[in-house]
Amino acid sequence: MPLLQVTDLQVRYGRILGTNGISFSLEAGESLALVGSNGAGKSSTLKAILGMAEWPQGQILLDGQDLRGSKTSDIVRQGVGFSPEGRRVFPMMSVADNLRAGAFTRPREEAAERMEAMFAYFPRLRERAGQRASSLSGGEQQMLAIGRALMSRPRLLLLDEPSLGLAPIIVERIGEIIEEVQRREGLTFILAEQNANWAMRVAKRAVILELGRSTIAGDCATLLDDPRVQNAYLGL
Amino acid sequence: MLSPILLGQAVVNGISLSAIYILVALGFTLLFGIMRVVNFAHGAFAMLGGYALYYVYGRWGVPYLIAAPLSALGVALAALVLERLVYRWFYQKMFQSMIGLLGLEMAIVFTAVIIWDPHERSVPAALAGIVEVGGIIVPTDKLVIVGVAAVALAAFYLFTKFSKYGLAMRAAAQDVEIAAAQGIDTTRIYQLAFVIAIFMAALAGGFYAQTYALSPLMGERPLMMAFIVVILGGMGSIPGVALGGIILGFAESFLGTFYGGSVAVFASFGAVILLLIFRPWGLLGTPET
Ligand SMILES: Nc1ncnc2c1ncn2[C@@H]1O[C@H](COP(=O)(O)OP(=O)(O)OP(=O)(O)O)[C@@H](O)[C@H]1O
Ligand SMILES: [Mg+2]
Repeated sequence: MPLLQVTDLQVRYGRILGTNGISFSLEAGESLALVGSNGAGKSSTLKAILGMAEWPQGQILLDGQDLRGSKTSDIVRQGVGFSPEGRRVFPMMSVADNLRAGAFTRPREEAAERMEAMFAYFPRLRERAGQRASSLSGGEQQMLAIGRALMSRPRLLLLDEPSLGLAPIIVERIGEIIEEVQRREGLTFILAEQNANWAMRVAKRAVILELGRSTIAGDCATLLDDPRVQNAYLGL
Repeated sequence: MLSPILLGQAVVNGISLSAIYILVALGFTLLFGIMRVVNFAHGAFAMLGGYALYYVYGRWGVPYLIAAPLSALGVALAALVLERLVYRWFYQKMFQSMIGLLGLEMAIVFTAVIIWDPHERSVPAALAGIVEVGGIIVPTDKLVIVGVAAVALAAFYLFTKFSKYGLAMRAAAQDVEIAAAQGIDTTRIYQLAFVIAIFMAALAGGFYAQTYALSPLMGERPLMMAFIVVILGGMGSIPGVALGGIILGFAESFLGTFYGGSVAVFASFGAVILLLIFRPWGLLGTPET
């Protein structure tokens, strides 16, 4: 049974369609890039999985269990972590408290242990532990958002556009850290990205979204050589 | 005229009024900071706290140190019904909440008029008697009020700063959607914040009824004071509440002692008007961007 299965997903914001026909599935241990340009429906898909957007049609199964009607907090408790678009760290809280918030569903001892693990992945955050999150640089805030999402040791991590607005060298660094977490913890993740080139090097498989639909899907290695993908998304 | 005794009394009065105002205003600012509702019914809960204390302590004779928190807790838990029926519809809707909760205030106040009639009653003092502290004569009653208020404020501080649910409350105040994405049940957190806020209002209402008098309309003044304190300190700022409460409590006590009650009210509002002109975000608030 796949860890996550999304079938023919339609997300709606009142009368506006967020997505209209997205399907993909993901096994435990896998990684998937959701690639598409502005407004393709990447964020809408992730928000639907988390119960943060309405999806009148389609189906989302986590461990074979239908997520329709589930509250966001319950979905997170089932092991889904989220690093939102635009980072959205808690600006007035310290770095350490941001991380603690990420471990809300976990016992105190485990939270302390996880925090150490996050400081090992992101040494910058250790130096800044007592500082307000709003005082961090964009790259540090992005690392904090990812660290916060990893605090609960999620079985499935949803990353929404972590490369947004960051210098290429920071983006590379974030990619390396994601790969490292995957190696060590067997992390399963979905990486929603406009930066197709990068995302398809970090993830193993990719699904391409166009105007709210999933179109081409396959192994990143294959897709990177596919002329349709090269033309539209890789700027080659 | 400036006798040390009068001065001492003004200080003690100032501390006890500050404690009351901080309690009322803290609940008020909590509801605004976390749920973005402007609780115009805050005074009504202070009034209900007064009546609860009147019965639990004044009539049934439960020992004061138990009666005070118990009656406030009773009001706060009963208010959860209103949270479900009324408040929940106004969360994150600042302007609608003002109108809706003003209506709720009237509904509660006039229900109280029907039940208890509009006459003033008095809640007996916690402890009759006086003590002498360094040459100043202090009514014991005031010391008890300040003590209970201090314990409540310290408990609140420790809770928000160090507990897991306090952390969740702070997170929900900053970004409720992302708080939910940490596995925090935000509906529950809102209920918790609501109970804490109403508890503090009701506790302060009990003290207020003891200090002045108990009547269905008594909530108007604590509400007004909460409003002033919050505007003075900066909407949603907790240190601002402490500062605003102290300024207002002492201003009222000193001006009231030396120049009379109406001067005190006049000066407090005057200060707020000036502040709104020159520093609309309050003493410790942050300007809106
Ligand atoms: N809160 C909202 N209210 C109304 N429409 C929305 C909302 N969020 C997204 N949409 C619409 O849904 C469609 C898909 O948006 P979505 O944010 O999912 O795209 P995206 O692929 O994440 O784009 P980007 O790369 O710009 O983040 C767009 O047409 C967008 O205008
Ligand atoms: Mg997006």
